[in-house]
Amino acid sequence: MSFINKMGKAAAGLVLSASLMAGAATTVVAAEYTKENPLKVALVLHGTLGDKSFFDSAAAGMTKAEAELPVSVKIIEAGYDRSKWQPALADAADSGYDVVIAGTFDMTGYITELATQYPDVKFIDFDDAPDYTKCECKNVLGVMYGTSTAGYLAGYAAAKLSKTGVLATILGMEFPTVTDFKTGFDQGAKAANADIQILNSTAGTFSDPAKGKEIALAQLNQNADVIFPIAGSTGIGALQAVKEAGGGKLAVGVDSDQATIFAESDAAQADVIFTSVEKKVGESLFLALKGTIDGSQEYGKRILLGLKDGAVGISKNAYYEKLVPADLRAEIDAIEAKIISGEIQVNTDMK
Amino acid sequence: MTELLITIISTGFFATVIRTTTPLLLATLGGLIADLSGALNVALEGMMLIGCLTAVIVSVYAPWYVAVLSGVGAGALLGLLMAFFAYRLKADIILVGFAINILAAGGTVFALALATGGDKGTSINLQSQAIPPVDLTFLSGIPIIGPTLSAMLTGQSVVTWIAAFLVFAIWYFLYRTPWGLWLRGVGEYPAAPEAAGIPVTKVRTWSLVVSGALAGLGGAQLAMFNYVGFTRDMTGGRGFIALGAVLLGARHPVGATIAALLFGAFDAFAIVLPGLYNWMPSELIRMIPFIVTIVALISFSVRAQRALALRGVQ
Repeated sequence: MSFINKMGKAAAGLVLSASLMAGAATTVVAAEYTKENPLKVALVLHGTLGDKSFFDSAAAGMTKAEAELPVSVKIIEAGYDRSKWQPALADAADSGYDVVIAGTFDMTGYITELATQYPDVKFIDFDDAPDYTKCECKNVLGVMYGTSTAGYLAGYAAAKLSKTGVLATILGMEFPTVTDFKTGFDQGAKAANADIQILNSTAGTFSDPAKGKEIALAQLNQNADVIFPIAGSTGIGALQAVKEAGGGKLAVGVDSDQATIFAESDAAQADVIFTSVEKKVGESLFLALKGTIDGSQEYGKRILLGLKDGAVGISKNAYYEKLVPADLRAEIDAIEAKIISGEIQVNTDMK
Repeated sequence: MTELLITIISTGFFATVIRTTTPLLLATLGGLIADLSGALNVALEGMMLIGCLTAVIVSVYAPWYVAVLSGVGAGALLGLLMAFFAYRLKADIILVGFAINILAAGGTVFALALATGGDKGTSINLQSQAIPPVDLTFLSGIPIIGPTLSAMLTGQSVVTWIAAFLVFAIWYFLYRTPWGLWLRGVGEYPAAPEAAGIPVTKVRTWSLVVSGALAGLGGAQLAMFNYVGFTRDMTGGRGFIALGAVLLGARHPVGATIAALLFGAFDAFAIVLPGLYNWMPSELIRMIPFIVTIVALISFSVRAQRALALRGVQ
């Protein structure tokens, strides 16, 4: 390993000096990728597939890319043991892939470290970005999601649907990728009804459904009738509380279209989720790879994708159509157009 | 302040405390039995987690009580496994415990994927069942306190009532039966019972089996009542908090129950607080159970020191 590492560094040095001699800038000559000579991509997941959310969405984007682009993808599941994440990423960076994709702040540190060691490999860091002022990350693309723009739509709808005038949110933990959902949700809710009251709880964990359920029960007890959990499986417990409460109480799903996920196994659960604020990780990665192939995607910077890029959105499925009246749906569509055109400015926590 | 008091003395709050305490209490009782026999069971967390998954998967195919029993059985088997490694193969019991925790964290995800056909995060594709709540609305017939009593106690899981009974049963076993004396003796000073012909290893093995069974029951309650279904790592450290509750409860069944209730109450407190005072930072609220634990431990230790001083031991 260390030998290969050294070789990699040496090769990198050679490439660097060669490009200096040629007087070329950082633009590498765009290679022509074909089905026979595809762009080699590794997706390193710091977890496993089958999470019904984030990682599955990323993998779906890879499947789409393989079908439509000259790309070959290897998905590496590093598991939930933290000590395996860095080696998995380092292995991928060292194995001759053109693009290595990993995500969230858990992986950013490792990406930053490896990006300088492997300057000829491109890295995509989704749902986070390295600090470009502190590292020479010319080969790293940070893809971030402005979820507040879609959260605004869900908040607006929630406030209009609420009969008690009390909404509630549950955060897993407080960091920007989580609170950004709420920032938009709150702003949208207040735009719909200036007197709306929004309860909020922070669970401190993303993996305790029993706790999420208790928090939601307490919020329902305090008169909330629409709950928006942004808390991974802690949030799934909250969805269950809303289902069991009945009586027209509603919930908003998060990250992926949660009503559709529940539709087959638990129809009663799907029936209370009127929409979900989706982070379309797969779609954004597909677009980034497409841009990489045709040379239009710049690296070495952070991009913040929102409603207008199609990277976030609310689910407009059968449940949305059933639970949200037609005039409100039309209103939401109008607001969506205004956010895209920039007429409505949505606050964001993504700085 | 008044609204806080109203919330805390409400029947709903009481019901929340009971609900959040039950899985923790069962794990605490499991920890207590093992600890008193001198076999520290650090694997409560993993045993609970495997109990959760076993109960959820079995409940898809069998009635709820079979599912609960299978959760108990899974825990008991893990206890036996732990005893086998620790006493037959002479491995360090703490290491064996941690090995079981690691096995549980990874193994449950693997088994979940096999059972659901690829899902590694949650069991939402499985139609698992819940433990039925016990209806005690007939209590409201009692004059004056009836309605309150009924509101407080109705709707709790069957397992909660079993847990309450177990507190008494374990106290009786430990302090009123010869086997309880054996168990405590083995934990206190193993050489003496050994000389008296009491099979030390056998006693500890049984303690670990019962300890695992109790943790498994706690897991079944967590995954079939508190939340219905399984998600990865859903025990959320309850098995480790239980170990703390054993010590905080002075290694006595009643003390351990009070300690578990204390954790449950402050957890419930942290859950209702943000709705009442939204200016309060969530970090501060989440610190409350831990601050209470530290304060309780300090006061307990001060009292113990004083008691020793009074007896002239120093």
